[in-house]
Amino acid sequence: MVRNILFLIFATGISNHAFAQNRYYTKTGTISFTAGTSLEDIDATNKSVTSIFDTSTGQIEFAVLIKGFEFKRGLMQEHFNENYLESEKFPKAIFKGKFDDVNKINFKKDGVYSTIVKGTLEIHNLKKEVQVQGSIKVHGGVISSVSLFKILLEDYAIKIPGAVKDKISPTVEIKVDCTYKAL
Amino acid sequence: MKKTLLIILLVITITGIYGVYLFNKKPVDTRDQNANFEISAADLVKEFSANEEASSKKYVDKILIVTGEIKEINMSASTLFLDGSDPLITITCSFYTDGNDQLKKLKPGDVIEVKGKCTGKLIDIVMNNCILANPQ
Repeated sequence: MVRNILFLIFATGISNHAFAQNRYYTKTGTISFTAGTSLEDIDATNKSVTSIFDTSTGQIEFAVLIKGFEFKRGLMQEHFNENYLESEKFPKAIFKGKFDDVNKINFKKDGVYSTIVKGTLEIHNLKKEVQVQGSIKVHGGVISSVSLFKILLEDYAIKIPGAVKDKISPTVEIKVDCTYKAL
Repeated sequence: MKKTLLIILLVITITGIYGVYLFNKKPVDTRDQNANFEISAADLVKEFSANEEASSKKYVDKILIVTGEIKEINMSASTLFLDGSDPLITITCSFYTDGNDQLKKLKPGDVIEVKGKCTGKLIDIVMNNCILANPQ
């Protein structure tokens, strides 16, 4: 176990030496979503999103713990975990993908770069290929990303009981907001 | 007849009030809860590394008091990271947003006790709704 970790660090060390500063990460990314209708507000935020991306390969990943989504109302948070996302069984949501054209972004030059990321989004144990538009902002050596996209609850087998059909939107708006550091 | 009606009305009112109370109840506040476990950051990391599934069953959704040395503080995210004696894994402690007063007094190297709700493991083991267990 220790040997594996040492190898990982050594390998990381080598690639960091050869291609300085090509990997960035955060453990405090934010994902918030809105799933309400005119009848009820349903919003939640998770402030401990983990994300890593590699500027040389264009690969980018996000991982989030379902139990980390915070709602204003305790009962809503309970239902979200127990009934809808079944977070005991499926504790994480994960995205693995790639920038469509990472070479168009100059991570060393201040600016705002429009981008498209394509990959696999896994929620509630179901995977779907998604394409998400977003922007990368480079400012004073800090790289941040913002993206807004929508998902259909039925794509991830998230069932809305008939009794609350008017209160929960079948389409959920998701906002991802991350500020990265060099790995 | 009147008495029965009054009692029925009372029951309905009480049920209604209780319903509204439940509906608006905020999620569990760690400040009002007793901890289920007290553990060092290093031991927590060891347990999760040895068996993530069993450790998740044991610790997720529970209130923990974790003792450890501060490795890093991120003020804008109201989050600090405790050293878990592991090169890759630390304990991410996400504080209540009104906890920045507590965070301002801390610095890397300080050994502290953090009380929070464990939400699971990504790379780090993550705790939400954190506060200092023993504020100085």
